[in-house]
Amino acid sequence: MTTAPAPLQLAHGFDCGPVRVDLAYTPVTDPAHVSGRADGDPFRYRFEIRLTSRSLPDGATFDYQSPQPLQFFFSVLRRLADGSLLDVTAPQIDAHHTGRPRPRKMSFARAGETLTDRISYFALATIVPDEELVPGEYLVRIASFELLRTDDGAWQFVPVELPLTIIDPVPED
Amino acid sequence: MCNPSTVDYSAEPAEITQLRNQVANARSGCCTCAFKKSGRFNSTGKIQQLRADGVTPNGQNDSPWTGEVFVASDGTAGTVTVFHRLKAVNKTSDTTSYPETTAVSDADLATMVAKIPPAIERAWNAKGWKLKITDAKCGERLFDVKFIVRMVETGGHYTLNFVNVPGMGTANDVAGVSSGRSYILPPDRGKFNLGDSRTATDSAGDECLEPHEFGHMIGLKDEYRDVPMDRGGVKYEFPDKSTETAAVNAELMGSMTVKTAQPNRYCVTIAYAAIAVLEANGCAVTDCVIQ
Repeated sequence: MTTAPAPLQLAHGFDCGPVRVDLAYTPVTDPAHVSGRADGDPFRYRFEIRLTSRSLPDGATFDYQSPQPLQFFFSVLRRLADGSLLDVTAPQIDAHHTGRPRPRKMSFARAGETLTDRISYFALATIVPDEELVPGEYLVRIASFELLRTDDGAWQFVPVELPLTIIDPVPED
Repeated sequence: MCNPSTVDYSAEPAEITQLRNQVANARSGCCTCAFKKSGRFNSTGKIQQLRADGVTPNGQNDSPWTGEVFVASDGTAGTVTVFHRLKAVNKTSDTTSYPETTAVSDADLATMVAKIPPAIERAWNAKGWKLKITDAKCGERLFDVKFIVRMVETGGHYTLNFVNVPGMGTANDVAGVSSGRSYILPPDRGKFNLGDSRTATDSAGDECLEPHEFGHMIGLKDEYRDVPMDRGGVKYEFPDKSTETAAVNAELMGSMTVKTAQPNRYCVTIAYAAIAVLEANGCAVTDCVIQ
């Protein structure tokens, strides 16, 4: 198995009323992981949304919408040699098969707890054809959507563009 | 998977072996030979999924797919044989990638998945399609279309991860898809749920889940009419240039009320594949009609 030198990097953060939202991701990966054909831990390369309570009472439930299935939220653009961007997003699984996004109930058991939602890079294969996931520079866009709802209101995900580099696998020593 | 005692995975159908032997003696442009293509069949662009207005393409065309197509003829008639090898991977214990799945032993899985090929063959051979193919040299020939599917240990055209989730599940799998939902990820992968009530892998279901998925394994699109999802069916363009728009929910590539593949349009990717096989072997096809 090969690895890429890609630590998780904090890239985005904003407040949703009583909840702090942070997004981290691995900015460098390889074709095997973005195409979902790699062995080993499928969450080695991932997006990670971290929720931390700012003022929500312990045990109070809220609705959280993970940005999945990806085709409802994500797009992927490849940066061409001239600097322009080519949208390579093309859903590979019909929405009737993926199912629609569904918020789920969550709650913080105690102050300071962080709830984590991990999205494997394997999922990128559902929105980009295999042959398009080649080494190069990409931009992953996550659109705005209703991320969080409590009894007091609803909060949107703040859109973000994340640079992603797909490199040829580096052989292990 | 371990070596199951209940299924002989090594046996290739005698019919396929015979076709391979015939292919070995093929000559370019021959009207009484057998030809084949094995591997990737690319999108033809002749199938377009439509938006809710039933007219505007939504950008989704027929998918690339993997398989083996034989075209054999005695000069006046022949067969188009579509062969798929499916490799089952037991993911019923992999709760990291597939939440909510419940373990099934390799032996039990082998017994269950052995029911899939007959279910697919029953559904896809039910109509008994024929292709009337005309070419400049051989004239008009009538080909019977036959589908053959086998489970294999290695060398599958499709690698299928099997999970065991009750119903549609509530969490997302590693691909971000609802954990209980089955799907094909073109051109050569998929996930099948043993816990879906429509599966052929038990003795009670409707046996239509895997036949529906097989439609995707030969490049077909879902043809639901579903306005809230902005879906208005699918437009098919046939090799004879005629077209058909289907925005129906009942058929096998819709909601599966009809559990066998009946419409001629479901044979269109095979028609294009057969034409490609013939043309790659020196034949000049001028017409092809699905009957």
